Amino acid sequence: MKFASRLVWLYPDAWRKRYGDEFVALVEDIGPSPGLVLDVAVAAIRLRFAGLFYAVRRPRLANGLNPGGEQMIAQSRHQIPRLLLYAVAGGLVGFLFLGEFALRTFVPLLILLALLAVGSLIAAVRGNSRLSPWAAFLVAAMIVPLMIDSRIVGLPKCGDVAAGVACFAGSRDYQTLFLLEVVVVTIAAASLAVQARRIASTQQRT
Amino acid sequence: MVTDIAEFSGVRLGPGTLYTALQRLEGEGLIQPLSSPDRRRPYRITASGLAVLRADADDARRVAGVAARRLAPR
Repeated sequence: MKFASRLVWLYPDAWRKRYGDEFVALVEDIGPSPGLVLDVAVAAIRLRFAGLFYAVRRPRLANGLNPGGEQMIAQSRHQIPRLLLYAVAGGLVGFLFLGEFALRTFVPLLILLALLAVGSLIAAVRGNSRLSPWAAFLVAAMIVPLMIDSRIVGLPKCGDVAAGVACFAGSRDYQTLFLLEVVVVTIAAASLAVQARRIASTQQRT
Repeated sequence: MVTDIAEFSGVRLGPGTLYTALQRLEGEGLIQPLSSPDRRRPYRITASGLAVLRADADDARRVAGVAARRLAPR
């Protein structure tokens, strides 16, 4: 029936490949009506908007087969908005606390952030979406501290210079702090790269 | 499936609503499609789907029990 075939074109291509035939069969069984058109149109629009953000994975048939090899379903994981949210939060924390209140100068705090980065990387590799978005938080949070410390780390430290020579970096060891910040941002960036690759590969299948 | 749902719930789902639900349930691993020569594909509930359904049914039973006790004439 042409009506059902036209209606299914409201859905994204990947959805049609996966559900198209059975959906058309159902619409043909029910028959056309204004309510049905409205129901399908609303569902298709919602799916298209959701498709901007949702990752996709392949289903398995109960008997172990993969239906057609091309059939996919949307996975209800809001990856990109979550990453953006974590990045905004991280940027604020980095600017307000790690930069403005100089909490980045506490080595134990940076070690904790490094451990969080490692956890996020492991989670990203394993596909665990609960911990992996913290990578976006960490990368964003490290921007301001790295900007500040990159300007200090190369300066002469008091005690390392002869009397009477300016020592702009004070007596604090900024090299360790800077190194820890680089470690945190590198591991977090690696975690983000893994997540980006995963999202890209799943969206390519649509 | 539409007829079955309408019979036990009194609600007739449109195809858009039904397939939104099917897609979500399949994505969460609660149902699985079975291979079929026909265009009408059957689905079966998975083990985790059964566990979720049992838990939901228990919750509904508990809430209904509380409602029945509170509505009972004193």
